[in-house]
Amino acid sequence: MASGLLKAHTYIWFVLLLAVPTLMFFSVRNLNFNERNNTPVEESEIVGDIIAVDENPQFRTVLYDSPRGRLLELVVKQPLQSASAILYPVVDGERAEKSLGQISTQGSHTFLVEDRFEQFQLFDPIKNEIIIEIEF
Amino acid sequence: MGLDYQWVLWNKHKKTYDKVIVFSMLLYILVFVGVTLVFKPETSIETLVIRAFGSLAIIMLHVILIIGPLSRLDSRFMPLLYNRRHLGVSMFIAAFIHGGFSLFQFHALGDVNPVYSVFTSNMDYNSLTNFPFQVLGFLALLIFFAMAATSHDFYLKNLSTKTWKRLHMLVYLAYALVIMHVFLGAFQQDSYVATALLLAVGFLVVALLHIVTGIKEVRKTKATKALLEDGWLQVCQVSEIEEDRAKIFTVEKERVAIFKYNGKLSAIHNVCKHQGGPLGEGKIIDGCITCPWHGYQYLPHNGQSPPPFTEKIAAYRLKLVGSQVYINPVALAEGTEVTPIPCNHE
Repeated sequence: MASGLLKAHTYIWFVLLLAVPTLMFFSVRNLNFNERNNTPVEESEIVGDIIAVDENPQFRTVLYDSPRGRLLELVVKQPLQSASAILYPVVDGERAEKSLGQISTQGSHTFLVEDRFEQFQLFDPIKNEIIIEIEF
Repeated sequence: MGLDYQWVLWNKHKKTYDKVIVFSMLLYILVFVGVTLVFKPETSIETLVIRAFGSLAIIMLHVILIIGPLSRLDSRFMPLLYNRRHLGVSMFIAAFIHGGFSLFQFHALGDVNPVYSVFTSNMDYNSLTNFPFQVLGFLALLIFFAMAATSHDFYLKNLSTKTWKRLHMLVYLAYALVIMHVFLGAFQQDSYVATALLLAVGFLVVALLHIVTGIKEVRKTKATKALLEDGWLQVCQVSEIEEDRAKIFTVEKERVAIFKYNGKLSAIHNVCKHQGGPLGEGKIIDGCITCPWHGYQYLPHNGQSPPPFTEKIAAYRLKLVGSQVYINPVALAEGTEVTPIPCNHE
C-alpha cells in the first residue's frame, strides 16, 4: 500500500472511531432498553368478563377482566397500511415509554395490561405517526 | 492476472471459497429463521426476510472489513484477502434483498414513488431518536451497489487504480451509515441491549484492528528512516532480509521493497499496479515478485510483468558496502533495467 493511502486509511478510522461512538451514544441514550410492559397472551388464556369494546372497520379492541388480570385484545381486521406498528398505553395524554408490543400481522394480538390503562395508541415509528388512538 | 477480461477468473481455490460463502450464507439464513420462529413465532414472513438478510449483510460487512488488517498482522489470512471481492459482491446481494424487501414492504403501498417515500415519509431529520433511519440504509446500499458494479478488473483498468481505490474507500462511509441505520432504526422498534452491545463491540473490533495495523505500519516506516550518505540512504544489513522475501522502507515518501533472491538484491516500488497491494509483503515465486493480494507478478530486476503482460513499476538502484545495504532514493522510470547486486559474502 502506498504511504498516502496508508495514512488516509488510518485517518479515516480515527475519525470513525470518534464520530460513530458519539452518534451511537446520542442515538441510544433516549431509547428504552427495558422489557416491554407485557408479553403477548396466548389465545387460550383469553377468558373473563368483557369490560369494554371499541370497533371500527379496521380494528376491534376488547378490554377483558380475566383471572390473570386485565387483558387488551387488538384484532387487526384488514392488513395495516403501516408496515411497522407498535402498541403503547397512553398515560396522562402521553404515549408511555414502554410499549406493549409490535403489531405486525392481521389477526388477534392480546396483552396483559395494568388496570390504570384505559387509553392506547398504535404508533408507526418509521413514518413517525399515530395509526389509531383507542380510548375506553 | 489476465490478458483479456472474463466474468470471473475461476480457479480451484476460488470455487472452494465461493462454495463456502454460499453454504455459510444459507446456513445463517436457516438458523436465523429457525431461531426466530421458535422464540418469536408471531413474526411475519416479510419481517423475517428483512431481518435475516439485513443481519447477514452486517455480519458479512464486518468480516470483509477485518480481512485487510488481519492479513497484514498475520499472513495466514492472505488467502481471504485474495478472495475478498466475491465476499463483497455476496454481501451486496444480501443487502440488496434486505433493502429491496424493505422498500416494497414499507413504501410500495403509498401513492408516491417508493424511493421518494423513503426520503419524505418521516421528515423528523432534526431528531436523533426518531431520525428517518431508512435514508441511511438506502445511501449505504447505493455505495455498495457502486462498489459491486465496479468490482470487475475492467472498471479497475478503465477508471484508473486511483479513482477505483477512492470509490471503493467509500466502504468506510457506507459502514458508518449502516451502523447508524441499525442504531437509529432497528432500536426504534425493538430495543435490545444485547443487539446494541454486539454492534458496538463489532465496530470497536473493526476500528481498533485498522488503527493498530496503521500505527504498526507507521512505526515500521519510522524505524527504517536511514542516514543519508552521498545521496544514498543506508537502509539495513543484508542479513535482515529473508531469502525470497523483502524488507520495506520509506524513501522520498514512497515505499520501496528490497528483495533478496538467488544471492542477489533488487529494489522496486512497493505498490502493485493492480489494486495497490503491498508487493514487499509478497514473495518471489518462479523468479517473479508475486503480489500477496491477487497474484500479479513482476520481474525483480526491472519491475516489468513477465510477457505477455504489460504492467510496469519503478525500480531503484542499490549498492552494498560490506554487509550494509544502501539505496538511491531516486525512482527510475517504470520498467528500467537495473542490474541486481550480488550479496553472496553475507
